[in-house]
Amino acid sequence: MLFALKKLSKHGFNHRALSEEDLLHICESEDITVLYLDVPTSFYFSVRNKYFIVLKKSLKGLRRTFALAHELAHHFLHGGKDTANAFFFGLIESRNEFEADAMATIALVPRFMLNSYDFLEEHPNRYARQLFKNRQKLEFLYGI
Amino acid sequence: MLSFIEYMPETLSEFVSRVMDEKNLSSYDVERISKRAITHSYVNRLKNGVAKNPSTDKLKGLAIGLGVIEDEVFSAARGQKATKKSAKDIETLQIIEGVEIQLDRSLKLSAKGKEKILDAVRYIAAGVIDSENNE
Repeated sequence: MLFALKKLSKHGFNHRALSEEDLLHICESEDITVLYLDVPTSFYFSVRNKYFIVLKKSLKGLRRTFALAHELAHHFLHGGKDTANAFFFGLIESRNEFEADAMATIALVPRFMLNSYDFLEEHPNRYARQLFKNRQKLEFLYGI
Repeated sequence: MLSFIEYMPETLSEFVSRVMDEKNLSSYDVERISKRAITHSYVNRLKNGVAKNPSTDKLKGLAIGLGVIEDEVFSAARGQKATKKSAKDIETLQIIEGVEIQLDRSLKLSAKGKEKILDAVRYIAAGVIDSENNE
């Protein structure tokens, strides 16, 4: 987990709360095409060294930002040099999916934000509460 | 990735035999997967080279039943050699098959959902391969 975070920290993960705009900017600099399509789940896909993040069109707000951060984490951590690679959000339980979830949580809620409840005040909903709780678990378990 | 040289032209009968063999499909499987767009007896007739002029609908049903791209079936039916486009289709198909294996591991996805994802992947992969081949 520490190694994963080290790879992503240069992109701002855990230093500041990354917005959707920040994440899209990273995608642009990495030459990743982001598509919003009518699919049941978001996914990361690469073919012949061309990179794509497909976001479920119906996602909005924090859920969409989280999905984008999750797929971006796959790009940095798990994208290989195979002809084609694909990772699907929430479909298959694996270490890679767990890592991408953890990095996305950190992207939205950096460690310093655990000291206050600004995040929860800014996002007064159940999804944000769960996200914050998951972030607290990551700090407890991995000290990150 | 399959090169053009590796993909030898074949008759429709040879094509059907090869794909069924590779995928371990029986003629009944093809009928079932095609949702009866083609019957098992007609699949056998194609496989044995008895049926020579299948209709467009039958070929489309055959493509679904075999799980291949329509163009491949139509090319084989025309007895044409593999073209650059066919090679692209084969690569796309291989990518789709890889993704399909991953999706099949998930119990959370409906058949319709799976098709939507595969459509998106097919669209992206074909676009990339097309643009690179045209460069």
